[in-house]
Amino acid sequence: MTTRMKAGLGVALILALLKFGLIPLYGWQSRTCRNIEVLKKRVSQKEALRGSEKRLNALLLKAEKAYRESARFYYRDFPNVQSLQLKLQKETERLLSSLKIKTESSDWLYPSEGAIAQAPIKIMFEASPEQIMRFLSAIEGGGHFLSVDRLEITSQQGRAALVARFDISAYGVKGKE
Amino acid sequence: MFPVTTAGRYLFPKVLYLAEEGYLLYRNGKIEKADPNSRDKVSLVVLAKKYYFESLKKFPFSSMKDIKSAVSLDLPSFSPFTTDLLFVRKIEQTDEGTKVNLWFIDGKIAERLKALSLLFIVPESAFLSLPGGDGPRIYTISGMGEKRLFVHIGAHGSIKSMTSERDSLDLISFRRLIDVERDACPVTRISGMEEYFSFIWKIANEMPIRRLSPFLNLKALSFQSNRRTIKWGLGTAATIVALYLVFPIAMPYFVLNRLQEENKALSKGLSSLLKKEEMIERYHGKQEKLADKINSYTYKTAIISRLGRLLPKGARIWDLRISGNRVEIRGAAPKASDLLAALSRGKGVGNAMFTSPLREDSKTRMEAFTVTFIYRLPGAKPENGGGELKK
Repeated sequence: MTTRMKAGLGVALILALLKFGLIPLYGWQSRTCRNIEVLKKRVSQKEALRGSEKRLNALLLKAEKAYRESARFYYRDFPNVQSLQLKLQKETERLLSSLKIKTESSDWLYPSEGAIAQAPIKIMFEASPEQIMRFLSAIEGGGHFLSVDRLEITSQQGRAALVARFDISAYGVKGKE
Repeated sequence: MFPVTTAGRYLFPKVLYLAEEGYLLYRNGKIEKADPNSRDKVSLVVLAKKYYFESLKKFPFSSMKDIKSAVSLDLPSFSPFTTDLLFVRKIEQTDEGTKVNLWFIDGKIAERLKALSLLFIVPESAFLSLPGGDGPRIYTISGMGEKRLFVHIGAHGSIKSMTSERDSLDLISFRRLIDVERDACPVTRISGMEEYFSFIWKIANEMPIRRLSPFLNLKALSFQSNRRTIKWGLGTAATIVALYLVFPIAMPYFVLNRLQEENKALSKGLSSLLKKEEMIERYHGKQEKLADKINSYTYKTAIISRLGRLLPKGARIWDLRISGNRVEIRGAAPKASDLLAALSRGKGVGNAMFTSPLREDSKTRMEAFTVTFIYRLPGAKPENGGGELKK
């Protein structure tokens, strides 16, 4: 084997060592350093927990209370989104009838599921401006959070009653607390 | 600053004179016998005449490389003994060729010198010529054993030398042999070891370094002679590289392992607290989502109430559409631009604009308009803002 061949092989060996040895090694090293930083943070957080049981208990109570407070605006006891839509429809019809408003039409819109389920319905009726405002106030100020996603109020020529179209959504949270 | 060209005194702290016995000559004048087994580093050795053969030759070519090749190829015709250590110094170059001095080092002593890794091996006759200048001269050295040494340094530094048994050859005979007239060159007589060694030191101090170049022992620089040093160097370099590679790998590995174990132990010991912390985070996350939905909602009662306050006197609305927080109104007003101005000034109202041309009703003198705006409840968070519940 000539000196030139030996030198060539040596260079190839060094390059291979760099490519398959040193570069992956440095990659591993930088990943390990990142993991170390994360672990250091985690360990120091855990160490800070020692002797803070009372504080944690208080915080847990506070967090639970805050959650319950927010959750009470959402429906919980429903098997599926459709039942929530039905519940909303009945609630709006009850409201309308209590305001002596006759429901012209009522439709279910596409619901959406997820962590917070949304059950929208479309409702149409004729009413005076005062009746509409009272209905709207009742919807937005009720015990549960109902949103009016779309609202159309149109006056009709020669008639005192206005035509109102509401897209209303009820929201529910599934699962246990 | 010392002149670099005569830096011998700094480069060579000691000189080895190698004759029947070796002598180490120190700068401070100290002389001691060299231990043959000593591995003391010496860079310069002056070789006694008995260990080399000297000749003055002329070659028909000028390249020193060619001259060396020619000599090596036909060594028996130039040297009385076989050797691979020879030195060539150019004396003079003419059209006819190149005159050189050749020194062939005895093979046995050459082997011994190899082990010492000497940087410069200078035959003593050549060493006497190193200071240069001064023109032709003769040196006679006596008192260095049984033999006397005669050295003639001719024009251009050519050297002819000879040894003789004491009193068997005198200066006159030497002159005759080398064909030099009596008055042609001065004679320097050196007698005794001490005088000779101090003369060697004087030369070592004064000689221009470049004149040593023909006597550079390239083999001392070769891998073979420095194998031990190179091995040590390579070993050290490999150790440093290994440490450089291993340390940055080993350290993070051990630190990571230690932290993982610590983390595990903490998780075990604080499991109930960690569970509580996890529950707090879960409650907080869920609460934030629920509150966010409510807080980002734009209340339509608020929009209608605000609209009622902003509408100018005499204005009528035929059609009101609210989608999210975007409001569109179609109606008529005595002066529609007053409505737009009022809306633009209104709190929480933004991007108010007419979306169709104004039309004036000739009977009622009212302007029919379509206006849109965006309403944001003051203090309401933008969509997906999160936070405390406001309802």
